[in-house]
Amino acid sequence: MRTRSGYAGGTTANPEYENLGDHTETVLVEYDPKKITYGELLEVFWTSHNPASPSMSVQYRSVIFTSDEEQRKAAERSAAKLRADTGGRIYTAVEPLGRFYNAEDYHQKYYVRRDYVLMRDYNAMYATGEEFAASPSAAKANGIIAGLASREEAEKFLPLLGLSKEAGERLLARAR
Amino acid sequence: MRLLSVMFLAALVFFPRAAWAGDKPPLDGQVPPNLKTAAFGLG
Repeated sequence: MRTRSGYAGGTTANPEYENLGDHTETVLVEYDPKKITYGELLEVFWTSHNPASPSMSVQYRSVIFTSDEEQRKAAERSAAKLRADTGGRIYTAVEPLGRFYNAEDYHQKYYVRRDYVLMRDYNAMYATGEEFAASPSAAKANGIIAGLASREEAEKFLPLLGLSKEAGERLLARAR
Repeated sequence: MRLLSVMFLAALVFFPRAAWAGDKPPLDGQVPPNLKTAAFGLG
């Protein structure tokens, strides 16, 4: 799985954080459907924010950007089920994903960036910020150090992350 | 990302472009070629 922070949904060319135009802050997930389904990603989406809260701005709105007709139908069904289950209004939009623009390097892998030991290791692995942002290892480490992984999950993935013993210990210390 | 501007200086300190790149992590080599894309705005 790869993840990136960025901007989508608008018409402004080459948006930047300080000049977003009509774009929305967006998370892009590249996933293997054999390992995780789109429905499971939707479940994570619904439970990661409050879709019953009206959007404050175009920059910060609840939206599912779909890549194909199959995703659009799944997103619409999922939103309808949530609406029926809760009996309330859902403010989430479902729109086709147009062009996605990567956010600036300093927005990528937020939690990893706050740890100088992890960044020391990743700086030695990747020559560019784009390589780092697209790294499955950095995405996994970001989730672990954010406290989202169990100790069992962290120990399972640690040997695959290519990190030093010191960095690994810092990740394990944050596992649940 | 509102707080991220605070992190900008830290990013500049801790993320200078590496002069060389070392070995890539094993996990990076396990990515299949045909990944699907999903995208979300989280309010």
